[in-house]
Amino acid sequence: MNPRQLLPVWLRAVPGLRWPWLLAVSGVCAVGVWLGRVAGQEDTLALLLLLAPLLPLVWVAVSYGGKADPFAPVVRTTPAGGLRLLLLRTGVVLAISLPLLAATGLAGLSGSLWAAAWLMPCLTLTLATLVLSSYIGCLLGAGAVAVTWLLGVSAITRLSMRADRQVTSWRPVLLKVLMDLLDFGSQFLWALAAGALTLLLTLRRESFDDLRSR
Amino acid sequence: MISARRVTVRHRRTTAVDSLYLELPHGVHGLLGPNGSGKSSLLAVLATATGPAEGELRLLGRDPARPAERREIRRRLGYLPQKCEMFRGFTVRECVAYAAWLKDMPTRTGGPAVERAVERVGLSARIDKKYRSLSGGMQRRVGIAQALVNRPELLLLDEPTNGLDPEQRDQLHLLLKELSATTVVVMATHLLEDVEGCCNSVVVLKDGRKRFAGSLDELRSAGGYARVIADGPDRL
Repeated sequence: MNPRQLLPVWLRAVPGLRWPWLLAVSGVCAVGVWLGRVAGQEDTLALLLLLAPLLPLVWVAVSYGGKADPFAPVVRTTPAGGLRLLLLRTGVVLAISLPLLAATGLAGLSGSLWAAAWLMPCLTLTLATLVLSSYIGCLLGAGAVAVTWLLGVSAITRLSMRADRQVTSWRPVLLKVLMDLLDFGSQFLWALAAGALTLLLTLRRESFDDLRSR
Repeated sequence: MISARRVTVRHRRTTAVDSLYLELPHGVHGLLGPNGSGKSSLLAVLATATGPAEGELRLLGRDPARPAERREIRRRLGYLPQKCEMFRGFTVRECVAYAAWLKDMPTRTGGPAVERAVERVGLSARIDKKYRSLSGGMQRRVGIAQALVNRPELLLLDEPTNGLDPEQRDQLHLLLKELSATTVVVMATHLLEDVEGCCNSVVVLKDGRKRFAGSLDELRSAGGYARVIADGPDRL
């Protein structure tokens, strides 16, 4: 038996479209490298970094959009064809891009390991959205994860500003919080969470089959 | 099972379907009309690919404008668009299995359903062949199989006989007749022989407006398709 046949069909379908797949992986890697280079610089847009976990999702949507997917006219009329398919595609693209960037970072080809570091929260948040979607639906799941991320980072920033009363601008504090969330200690926690969420998602995979589920 | 009231479909400033009223029960319904008459636009709306600009639509007793009801409609829907390309590197089995997954079919029942759908379109012998290695007619049959895989209650086919040889057309007609007892089938076509082969009723569109709705005998009594299209008054 071809080992490829052991993978679920949706997973085989993601790289099944060669050009969108290559575009998505190369674009997400480029986003990672760019974020790794600009993050921490004085003039970096803190708000852009706050929204950084969304960038791979947007890029994957662009890569597979338009006429890139020949099956799109049918996909649009199926229950799994919207946000859920986009989240799964993004998860697969990130799962490939992350070790790729880590390996090139270690070899000194992609600047630094920061490039891969930026993608770890993206992967974890994408997996969290999928797990939550299996309970409450994709739209609500995506909304809940986005709000939790934004409120969580804002709350930590606010608390940091209170702790250090000499700070007057929120911008450098937000940058520091984001960089702390990405440092190598945090990476371990993000990776642990991603592993647990992958396990949970595997256990919950049949919930999408249930006609009563979202 | 399909109820449309004053449904209007627009593409930017062009009105593709204009104030359409339609009541379609179980059975096979032919959608006839010249090119640009609004057949594909109407099917796309019935397939929930896009929403109507105006009017009310109910499919299988549900409102497609509501997300939860739309999802239930989509689980019970089979749709073959006019151009239906699938993944060229996939086998026939993978193409249809992917459609089954997209339609939320349980994994445990997906496998047998895929084989049954492929068998119904006469491609069992080629189930493990690559999609790209098939002829145009066979690729069209894979498209029909993906539409059938979830045993749809609403089946929408846009020119399904394109590229099929006469024998395959007859087989498709027989298949649609079999489905007519339990399924609402709407088939857009420009071939009268498709309508004669399997349809219980006919809807004729021209310039986005309904020109005729009734049985094939009634269409003949009204002077035939060409007459209805050329100068027939709207018959609602």
